[in-house]
Order: sequence, then C-alpha cells, then structure tokens
Amino acid sequence: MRPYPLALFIVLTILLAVPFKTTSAGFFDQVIKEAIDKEVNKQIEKHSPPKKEPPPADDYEQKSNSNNGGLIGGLGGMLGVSQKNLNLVNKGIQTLQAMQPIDEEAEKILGESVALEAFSRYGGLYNNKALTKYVNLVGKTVVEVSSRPDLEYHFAILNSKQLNAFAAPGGYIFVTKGLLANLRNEAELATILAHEIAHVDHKHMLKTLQRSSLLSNVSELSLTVMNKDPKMLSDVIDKVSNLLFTHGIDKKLEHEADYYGVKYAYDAGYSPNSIANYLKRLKKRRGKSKSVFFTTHPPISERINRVENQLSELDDSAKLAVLQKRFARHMKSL
Amino acid sequence: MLKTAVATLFLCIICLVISPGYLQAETLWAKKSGVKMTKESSRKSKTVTKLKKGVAVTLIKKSGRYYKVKLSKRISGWVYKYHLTNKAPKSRKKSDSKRLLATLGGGSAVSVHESSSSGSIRGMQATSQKYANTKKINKRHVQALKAMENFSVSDSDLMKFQKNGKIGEFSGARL
Repeated sequence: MRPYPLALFIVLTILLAVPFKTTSAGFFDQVIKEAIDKEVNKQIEKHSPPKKEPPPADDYEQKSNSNNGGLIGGLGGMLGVSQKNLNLVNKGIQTLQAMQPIDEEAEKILGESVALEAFSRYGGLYNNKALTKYVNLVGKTVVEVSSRPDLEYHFAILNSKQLNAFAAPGGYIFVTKGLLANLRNEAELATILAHEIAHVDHKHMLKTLQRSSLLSNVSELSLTVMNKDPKMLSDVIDKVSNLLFTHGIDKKLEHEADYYGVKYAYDAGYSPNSIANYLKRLKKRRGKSKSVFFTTHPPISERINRVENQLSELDDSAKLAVLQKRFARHMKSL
Repeated sequence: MLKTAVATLFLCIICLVISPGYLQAETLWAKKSGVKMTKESSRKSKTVTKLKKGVAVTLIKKSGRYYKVKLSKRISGWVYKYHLTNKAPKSRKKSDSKRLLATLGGGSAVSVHESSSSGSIRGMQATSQKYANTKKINKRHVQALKAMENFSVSDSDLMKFQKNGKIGEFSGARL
C-alpha cells in the first residue's frame, strides 16, 4: 500500500471509531448489548398487565407525581404552549423530584431498623447455624449474578410458621421457617431469594419512599438528616414496615421482582421452572393460610401466567439444577 | 484516486466492525480472591493463574458466561464473568496505607479491603442502635440483627457448594 492510502486508512479508522465509542468488547458487543437491553425492556413490557394496571416500574415515580405540574400547566396554557411541550417540561420536573437521593449509609440504617421490626413481629431469629449457612450459600450464589453484587447481603430465618419472605433495604433478606417447610427443592428457595434480592437490587422500597410525602422536606435522606430528625426516621421506618408487613408495595414492582427473580435464578444455574410449581401450590393454599403474603403480593394467577410466559423463552431451564435431595437433607434439621 | 479513497473507506468500516476494539480497553477487577483464570472458556480447562481480590484485568472478548481478559503482556485467559466487576475497588484509608507502608518499608499502597465480602459499611450502625433503644426493641432481636450481620460464608465454602450443586460458575446454563 502506498503512503497516501495508508495514512488515509489510519485517519479514517480513528475518525470512524469515535462515534462508535467502541469498547474492548468490540462493535458487535455494543450491538448485542443494545439488543439485550431492548429485549429485557420488551420482556418486562410483554409480561406487564393490561393498560388499566399500574404503569411500568421505571415510570412509577414519574406517574406518581403527575399532579405536580398544575402551575406549569396553567401558565403554559395561558401562554399558548402546546400540551406536548408542557408534558415534556412536567416529565423533567417529576424526574428531578423523583431523584431525591437516599445514600447507601442511609439505606443500611433503614434496612437495620426494618430488620429489627421483622425480628420483633415474626418470632425472632430461628437459631439454626447449619440451616442459616445453607440459606446464605444459596442466597450468595444468586447475589453473584445480581446487579448490585458489591452490596453486602445478609440472610436470616425467622422463627414463624407463616409463609413469607421479606427484603429490607440495604440487603437484609428474611425467610420464615414456615416457608422453608413448604418448599420442595433448592431451586424453589433460590428463586424466592432471587425475588427478594431483586427488590433490593432495583431499590423498590427506596423508590416507594422517594415519592412519599415523608421526605418532602429533605433534599437527601442521609445519616446526618436521620440523626438530626429522629422523628422523621421513626416515621420512615413505620412507613416501610407498614408497606413490607401489611400492605405491600406497588404490584408493578412485585412483577418486576418476579421477572428478575426468574432471571437471576436462571443466571445462577438454578431451574426457575420450580417457581411456577411453587406458586401453583401456594394458590391452592389461598384461604387456608393466614399469611399476609396474599395481601402484599399481586394475584397469584397473574403471577403464574407471567412467570410461565417468561419460562417458555428459556428453553434450557428444565435442564438446570433443582437439587431436591440436597435441600431435603438440610431441611431435616428444621 | 476516488476509487482508492472509497476502497480505503470500505476497508476502514470492515476493520472497525470485525475488530475487538483495541481503541478503548475496558478495565475490570476481580470481585474476590482466588478467581480462576483458565486457558479456555471452560471450568474444566487448565488454570492459567488465580486473581487476588481487586486485581485489574483488561477485557479482550466476551463469550457466554466467560470473559477473555489480559492480566499482563504475557498472561491472558478466561474468567467467569460474574467474578469480575467494572467498579474499581475502594482504596484503603490513610491510616491503613501508612501501616502497610511501614510493614513493606515503602512504596505506593493502593489496595482493597480484604474480607469475604465487598460491603463497605460494616456492623450495626449507631443510629439503628438508637432507634432500637427509643422503640424499646427487645435485646434478643438486637442480638439477632448483629448475628445476622456477622454471619459469613467463606469464598472456598461457596465455591465447594456451587461445584457440588453444579450451580454458579459450575452451571451449564446458556447465558
């Protein structure tokens, strides 16, 4: 090659590379990553309930603040600004309002305080080291594939016969003794823990809090703010406890946790098919059990439909680990 | 002349599309100690080396559950992708660095926290303890929370557990 085309070749390659923002993973990876992101969004959308149901989880905070644009709307109308433009302005304002930060330190304190409430309301800690280790091993296997693997997760068993599992902010995950007794294999346990991990990963409780009027007077929920105003901290813990133990969070967020629960269990090598079987068993128990699980989660039939749709696209999921015998061996000490 | 320019442009585009993108290498860090780097993208493949927690590698290629990475000019291999993170490890506190320097007798000291977990905020917080006192939470439950936070599983136990159950790194799931 003569010097001129060679120089042109080098210059053009560099110029073309800049807009591609190519990483070491190459252009194809960029395309594949975008395709995967698109597919995940498509899947959540696909498995979402009909339009009358709550909005998609990502829009959750924004929609919840939809009444805040009154003044803008009024002025805009007077000045003849189109509704489309007003909506864009409102959307921007709502996004900014929804971004009220809760730092990791504050998240941990919220988690610890809610964990104390969980122990108080659900019979305290079930003290069984071997079983706790087993639950931790299953949980940490799932955490490895989650989107916040650097967060320190903790797993504990609650001494309650009720069937339930909880996730407090900051990575505090609980399963009741009653729930463990009703599971049939490790894959079921892994998928349930994955559902709870997804709540923490995607900051569902924090998102719910961020739109709450409780935080309207603070620009950020931090350790300093918490120490300065213990009354506000107490109110926030009451609110979280109330949501977690009595009313439940938005059903849309529960569906999102189901989606990522199945995904994380699959990525960790567990067969997520087991969760559909568990939900079906749970459906049969409805009415017989006093668990608040039924009031804090969306209708089971709907969850089963969504999970089965998702599973139908994971063609190798049936071949993955179920680990019934290992699970049974550990449950002997329950 | 025009033909040459068009041909060169075409060649540039082809090169960009098929290149692994050496232009902007991505750095990843080992999430824990003992992360295996193998010769091929399989857990059965020969171990090239084991990475310590926080060690930086350069991403070369992605393939399913494995990433091909470069540790140095001479050492490269495949690592289970969930054992790597794109978040740089936090440096030690100044006092820790000084202690380390004193031990080593000099040199720069940027390292990472050595523990079985990567969480940066450890132990029950004073604010939570205050909350427990104000709400008169039973001491048994405060102890339960501390026990929950102090409970840890070692990396080697986790690896044995996963190997035994063919899960995690040892799973055959298509990713």
